[in-house]
Amino acid sequence: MRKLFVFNLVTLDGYFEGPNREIDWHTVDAEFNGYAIDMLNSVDTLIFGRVTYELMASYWPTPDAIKNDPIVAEKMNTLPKIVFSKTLEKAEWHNTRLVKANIEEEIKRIKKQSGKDIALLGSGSILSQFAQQGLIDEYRIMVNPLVLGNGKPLFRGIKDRLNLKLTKARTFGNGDVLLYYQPVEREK
Amino acid sequence: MQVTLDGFIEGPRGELDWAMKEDEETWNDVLELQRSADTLLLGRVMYPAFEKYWLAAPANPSSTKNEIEYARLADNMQKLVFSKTMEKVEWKTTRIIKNHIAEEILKMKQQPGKDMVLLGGAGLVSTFMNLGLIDEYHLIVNPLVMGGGKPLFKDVKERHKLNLIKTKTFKSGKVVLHYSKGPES
Repeated sequence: MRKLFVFNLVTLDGYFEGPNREIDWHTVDAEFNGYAIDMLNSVDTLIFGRVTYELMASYWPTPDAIKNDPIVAEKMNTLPKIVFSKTLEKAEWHNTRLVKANIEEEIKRIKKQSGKDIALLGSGSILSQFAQQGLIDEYRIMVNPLVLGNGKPLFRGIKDRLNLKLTKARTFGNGDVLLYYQPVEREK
Repeated sequence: MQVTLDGFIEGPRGELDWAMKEDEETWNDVLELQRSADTLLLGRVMYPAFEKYWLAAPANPSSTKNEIEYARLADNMQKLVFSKTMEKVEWKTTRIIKNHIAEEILKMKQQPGKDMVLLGGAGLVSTFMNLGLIDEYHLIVNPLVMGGGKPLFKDVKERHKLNLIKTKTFKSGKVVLHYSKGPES
């Protein structure tokens, strides 16, 4: 069965964004872009929660994005996407499907289909929900070299201990460290 | 210091079991750091238990070889405990610092000798960061999400950029992240 992995950038103090949604600390350089392109080539489905979806849908189709990051933008704009949201009315970003209910069943169904891996590009509530339902097969957490002091914790919705197994660590030239983990066996 | 992937140094009920699992690579790392220093810095909340445990460790029949070595090194190091209210300590090589933390630390940095290691707790880490006193961070990230507890960087007031110096991964899945203070903090 193909796997569903989550990819996220986080500060050393565990925040995915600052108190006013700051993500200016992300370092998008050639090495990061190389990783992003490899990652996007390894998947055929992108999954978002509403907040990340809105952020991405308002950026990647723009001429600026296409000019600055042509390869990543092309991938982001053409890959099949699913956004999970109870409140969103419609999803207009190219090749996006809006799913309003039965998330768990939907994910299990998609994972059983043949194909490439599935990437969850999201944070906050959707990450916690997926983690607690045992839907995530791999965590790719990119620890950025800074302490923010305040912000929104990446794992804030997780209430119980989640034991992980480190499978790989990659250090980037800009000081980011990408940690790969698998959840330690739990009931599915 | 040991932290979870979500940045906690203790669980919601003070759980430390995840950090304390016997692991030779972690011990080697901890002892190597200990040998590179001649001074240990501790906060008042953490100090009493630290003193009690490590003063007794050499004579405690359940101590491991590594614990006895840690206790021996700690005994020979200068220890500073930061507290406005603490009156006395048992350990002969411990000094209580009541005020003027920054002046005291800056003075000590000028003196010849080995490095100083701040062992915790979280309150002291934040205090030192806010005063700009920390030159390097040596964190051991453990392979778990705790879901709550005591955050390492709980009262840090502003952004601190860091430079990654080195990483090490252990068979246990722990990852050492070693940073120095960045240019703007």
